[in-house]
Amino acid sequence: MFKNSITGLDGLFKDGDIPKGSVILVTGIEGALKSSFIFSMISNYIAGTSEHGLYASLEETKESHLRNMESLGVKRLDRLHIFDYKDMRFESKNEELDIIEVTEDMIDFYREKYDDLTVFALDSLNAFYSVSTGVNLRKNMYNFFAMLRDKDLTSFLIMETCSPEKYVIAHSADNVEHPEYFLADGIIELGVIEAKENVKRYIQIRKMRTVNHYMEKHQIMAGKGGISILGSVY
Amino acid sequence: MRDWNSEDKIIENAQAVLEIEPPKLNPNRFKENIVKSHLEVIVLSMLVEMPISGYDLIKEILARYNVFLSQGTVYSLLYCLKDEGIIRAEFTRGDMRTKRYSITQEGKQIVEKRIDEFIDAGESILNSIKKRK
Repeated sequence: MFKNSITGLDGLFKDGDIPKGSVILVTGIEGALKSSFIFSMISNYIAGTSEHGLYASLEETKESHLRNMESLGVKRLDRLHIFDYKDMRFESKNEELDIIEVTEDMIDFYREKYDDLTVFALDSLNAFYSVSTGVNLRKNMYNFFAMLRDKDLTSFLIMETCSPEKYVIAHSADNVEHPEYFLADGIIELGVIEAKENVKRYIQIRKMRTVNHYMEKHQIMAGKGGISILGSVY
Repeated sequence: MRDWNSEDKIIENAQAVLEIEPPKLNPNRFKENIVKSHLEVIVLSMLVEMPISGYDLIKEILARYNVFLSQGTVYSLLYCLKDEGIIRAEFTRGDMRTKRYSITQEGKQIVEKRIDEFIDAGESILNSIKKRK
């Protein structure tokens, strides 16, 4: 169960869990712990099963990502594979890269090699868009989401937003530009609340189709012992 | 009144339809299937020859077998082999952007065994097919 993979995550759900096979958008400003939260959650989830996971990173090299995770007490798991796009991007130089096709081929490779590949994470959608030279990439996102569902992967797509306010604007009035918001089965938002000198990080489930969940923002903390979720921030 | 122009067009179209050749079978398809199904041993055999980058590996496979492989497939394979300790990656001198992959000391025996098994299996299948001819 995903909700038991991070201490306190179950407190965000009235009942149920992150549905298997769903595509979840993980949004938030920089430094909100998006990557750490998702990597820790998947790593802990995988550790309790015999399944395999795939974490595709466009933001960081594999080595630097693992160093960051180690500082949070997340142990490296052989069954959580990390695909780092950096080598491919550097070596192909100026050649046009069909990032969706490359990603699908990468997923197919790991699925064929490991029967039990059930979880996929992409870090981040922003980099995914910036790498691709395809002008219709956003339109192609429908196919990308469908592909992830067809492969029966529980997928987490990390997307950095400028601010929660910007997210609200994008969600309410600019849906054509941001299809991922309505294509996703769920949206988990991470952010920072500042009240005078009191700064807290929070996590909130904004949307989770078919699941009964709370809407409150909960405090999220990171330390050497890992990530944990506390009660409501208010 | 008959519209000769349009009738001509119809005949022209019909001829065009009749002239469509049946889809040709890709003569390279067997080679492509073999390369894709046995990519690991093919890549390992190339790494035995010389250290090579992922990008050059794709170009080399295209040159040798006329099979184009996706970067998503080739780099995933290289990362898995590296995680298994069979190959290692090193930056090319003077180019900190290109990693070249080569067989590790520990991987040498494993690679030799895999290549031998592949050759044995291939030869056994080919011989049995040749006997039938």
